[in-house]
Amino acid sequence: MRNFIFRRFIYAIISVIAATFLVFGLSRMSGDPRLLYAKPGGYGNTEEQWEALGKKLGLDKPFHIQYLMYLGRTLKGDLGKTLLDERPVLDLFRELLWSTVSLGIVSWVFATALGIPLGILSAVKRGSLWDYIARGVALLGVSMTTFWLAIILILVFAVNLGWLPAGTRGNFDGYWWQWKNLSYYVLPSFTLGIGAAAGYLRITRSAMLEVLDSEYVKLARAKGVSNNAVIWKHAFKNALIPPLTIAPLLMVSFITGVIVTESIFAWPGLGRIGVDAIGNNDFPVLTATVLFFAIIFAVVNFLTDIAYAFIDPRIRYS
Amino acid sequence: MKNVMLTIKMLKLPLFYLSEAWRLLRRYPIISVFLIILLFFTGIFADLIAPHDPIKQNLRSRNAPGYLWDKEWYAENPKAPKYLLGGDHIGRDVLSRTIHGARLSLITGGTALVTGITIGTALALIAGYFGGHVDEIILRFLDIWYALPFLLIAMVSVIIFGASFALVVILLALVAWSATVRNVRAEVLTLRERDYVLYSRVAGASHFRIIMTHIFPGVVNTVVVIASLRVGSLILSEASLSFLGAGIPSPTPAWGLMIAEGRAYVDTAWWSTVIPGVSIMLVIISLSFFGDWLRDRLDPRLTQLD
Repeated sequence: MRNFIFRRFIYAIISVIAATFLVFGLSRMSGDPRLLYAKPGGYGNTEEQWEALGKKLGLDKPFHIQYLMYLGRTLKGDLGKTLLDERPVLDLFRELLWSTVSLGIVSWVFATALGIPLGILSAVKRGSLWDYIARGVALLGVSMTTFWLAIILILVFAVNLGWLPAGTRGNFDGYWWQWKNLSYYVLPSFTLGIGAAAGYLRITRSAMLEVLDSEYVKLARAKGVSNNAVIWKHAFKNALIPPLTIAPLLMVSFITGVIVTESIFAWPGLGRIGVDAIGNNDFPVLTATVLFFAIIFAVVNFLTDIAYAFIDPRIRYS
Repeated sequence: MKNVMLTIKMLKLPLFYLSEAWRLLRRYPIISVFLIILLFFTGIFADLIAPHDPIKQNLRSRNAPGYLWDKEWYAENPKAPKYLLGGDHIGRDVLSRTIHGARLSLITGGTALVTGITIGTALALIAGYFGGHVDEIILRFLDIWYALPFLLIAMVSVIIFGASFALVVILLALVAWSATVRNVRAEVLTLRERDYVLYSRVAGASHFRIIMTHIFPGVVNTVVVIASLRVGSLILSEASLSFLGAGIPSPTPAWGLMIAEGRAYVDTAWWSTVIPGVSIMLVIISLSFFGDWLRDRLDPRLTQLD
């Protein structure tokens, strides 16, 4: 078991390093970041000043040294300064981190609370109205693109009905549970969560159907165990393994989704500054964003593997 | 009495046909296949079907309503060309753009799918057949690959290399390849232990020959099913890239791009976003139904896949 955890941990770290390397490499190919300040020789810039700026940003060293320097600084917690207004990236992240994470948590809770119970319900009451509702949700979640759904939601609930704000996170003062704060979360988290909810639903439904058809459930029924006990004690626990395993896959769609969702709803978060950073050629911000998402993904992946090994002993010994 | 029975029978007859039709619809993905054929048809013959030039602008038709539902507007503006589904914010025909968009989705989705699936299957065959270190390296590479935030990397590449059709196809292929590896590899692992593979090796067949003639035919079903289930998500990815401005560059009619451009006018001219949006939705739903059906027919073991 310890060996398994250790191996998984190493993979997680390699993934994160690979992600930063790829993005660092790509962003260095995208052109000289000095061009953001001035064109060479332009604006009364002397050759020496240009070189000094390069030295300050570490551009005079070869690529792999730059990358290693970047890694070392990152490990020390120094994510560099934004090229645009020379603010420490870490400050920017501190400011926006909670905004993105809270959106992610709310969407996650929504997806789980909708997907898993509905999946179980539709499997237990197969062919009933609940089953059809569940299939409808699943189809909606699969076929609606994030951006298209977001636009329709804004059009209906913000523009036409005027029930909910169309974007941003509001001022966010007072208590978090006040409606004036929470209302800003409704549309973005629905947009972000519905795809994951559909994923959970489909996988829970098929897992539950499979378990309900298994021998030990039949045995339990034959012994005269009540229907509720069969469903909750025997079937439910075993049906939770597949939804757990797809959690990291859903996380991928969350990361993609959060970038699009934040862009549409003008949500002040990390996904949106990532998109802005690409437009500004601001690669300290860009690499930090990718690093952030890669770490989140690696952590989730790692925790899932471990949880999976705890739940299903077969994994530990293979 | 006899008459009553006969009447009941007569009444039941159409009901019978209806339920029979319903049964057929549930059993076979008729509507989906029809929509997919329609997509191919409009895609292939886009030039012939589209009533207008998809990139020609007309100042009179800026955000013009569709001729289908607002004939009065066209009576008031007789000089505006008749756009059946309306015009977008710079006066291009939404219908023609949607039709040409179908072609673009087909080409990008199709090319990326074929490239990606080919690479993925080849890697899976190699990993499963040779096993050992090769297998380990490919699987670990896959793990790492899954961990990358694809959209950000795609957008960075678009900034670096410039938006182009080729780049979009390459990026989508990079999404597609990972889907096949795991399942196909598992399949190969069981196939390579079969006796006929062993005999073939004893008879002196090369590895390449064994893979191509004895193992590959055994995984074709799985590959086809995965491909049919993946193509929808590729079309979605393409639309997302276009929407973020990282897809196929602007005047070309791509559905995601149309939605992005119409977004600002959605409360006054809903048609320029809703029509491409509904098109994407229908295509994805059809493909998903068709893929599910294909999976149940060809490879029921893959039910766990989605």
